[in-house]
Amino acid sequence: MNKKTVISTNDNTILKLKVLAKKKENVRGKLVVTAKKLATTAKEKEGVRSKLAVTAETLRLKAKQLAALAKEKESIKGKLEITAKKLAVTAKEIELANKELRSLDVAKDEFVSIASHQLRTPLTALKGYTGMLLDEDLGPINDKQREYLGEIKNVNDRMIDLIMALLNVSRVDLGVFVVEPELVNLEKVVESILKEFDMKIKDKKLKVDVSFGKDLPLISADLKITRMIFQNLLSNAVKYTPNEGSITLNVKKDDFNFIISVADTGYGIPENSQSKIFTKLFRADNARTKDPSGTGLGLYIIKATIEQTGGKIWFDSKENQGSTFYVSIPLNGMKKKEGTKRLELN
Amino acid sequence: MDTLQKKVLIIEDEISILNGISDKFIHEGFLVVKAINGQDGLNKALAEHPDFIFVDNLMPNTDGFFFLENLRKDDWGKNARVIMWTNSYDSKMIERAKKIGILDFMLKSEWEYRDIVKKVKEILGMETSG
Repeated sequence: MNKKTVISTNDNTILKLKVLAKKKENVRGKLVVTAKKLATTAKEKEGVRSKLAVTAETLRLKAKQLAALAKEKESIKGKLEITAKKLAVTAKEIELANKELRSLDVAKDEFVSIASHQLRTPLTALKGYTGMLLDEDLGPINDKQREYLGEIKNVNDRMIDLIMALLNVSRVDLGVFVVEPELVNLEKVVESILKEFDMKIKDKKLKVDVSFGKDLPLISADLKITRMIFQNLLSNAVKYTPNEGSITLNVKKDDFNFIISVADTGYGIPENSQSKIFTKLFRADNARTKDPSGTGLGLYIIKATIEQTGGKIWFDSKENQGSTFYVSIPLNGMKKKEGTKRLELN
Repeated sequence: MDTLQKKVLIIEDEISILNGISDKFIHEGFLVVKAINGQDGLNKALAEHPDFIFVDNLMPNTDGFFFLENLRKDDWGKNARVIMWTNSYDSKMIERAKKIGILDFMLKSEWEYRDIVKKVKEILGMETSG
């Protein structure tokens, strides 16, 4: 064997061995890395597994909760069904109660009608006989007799008015009054109502100014209700305006409504009474002092009537300076309304 | 008897009112016939042929509608002048009366006797004073 070769062989071998050793070392290194990676992967896998386990648990819990919710839902549904059934029963009961209330309302109105008829009969007789004595049908009466008979006549008329007002309250409260619109000339209505107050206006030396908008058309309105509105507003203005005061009545129209206004230079409505002025039986203290005979029902009745026929009423007032009442009635008129009773007028 | 005297029939069950209004008409120169229910009124109307009739509505046994409906069946009665007067203001009742035929409807408590007489005189074309 050639020494050089041997040496060379050995060298090669050593070299090869060295290379091998290095490779081995590399492989080991890679193995270590791989082992490390595997370890990491295993760890990650473990992590994922544990996360999956958590997720599975969560899902299980969720499923349990859903099942519980579904059960609850079922029970709520059952309860709702029971409630719905109960509500249906209650609705039926309410309907029956309403029906009963309506028939009670009708019965109440009938009672008020009959009672008022019974009350009016003796008052009518009293009115008739007092009138004949005042007319001196049985011979002359002296001044004192005339004064006393006048008092009897006044209180009797107050009783008749009160009965009429109570009847009207019953009819507007129950909504049983009739509204029968017809073409009405407001100027003529105002003229005739003013005639009724002529004596009082002259007695108190009131200045009355009446004006109407240009080309005011006829209004489709219930004549009785229209008269009632003017009668009430003018009666209040005359009653609550001191001697030599003034009353201004105007009727005009805007794009949608007829607007009636009645202004006076009267006692006005105290501020603390203004919110109650349309309340049933309410009378402001100053009104009570100036005219103890009022019923406190007039404004209540006309407000309810006006609103039930599609209009509005409002006012401005200052104590000791006067009041202005406004009424609006739609240009197309009052709404027709079926009913069993008419409202009554003075 | 004054042949120019007009005759009024008053049908009214409330005696105080019947007597009162009758006295007023007599005082104003009318002849008055009184009746206390629908049947009584009908008998007297057909027998007496009054110039004017006042009939109440609510009366015992035979009411104002009994009177009106039967009066209108008679040859003379179908054109007789009738005012219904009552103290109960019922729109259905008024409509029914108007359909049968009345000149007017009056709420008793609203009217002074002197104004009732005045109205009758106007309808009958008699001279009124005041």
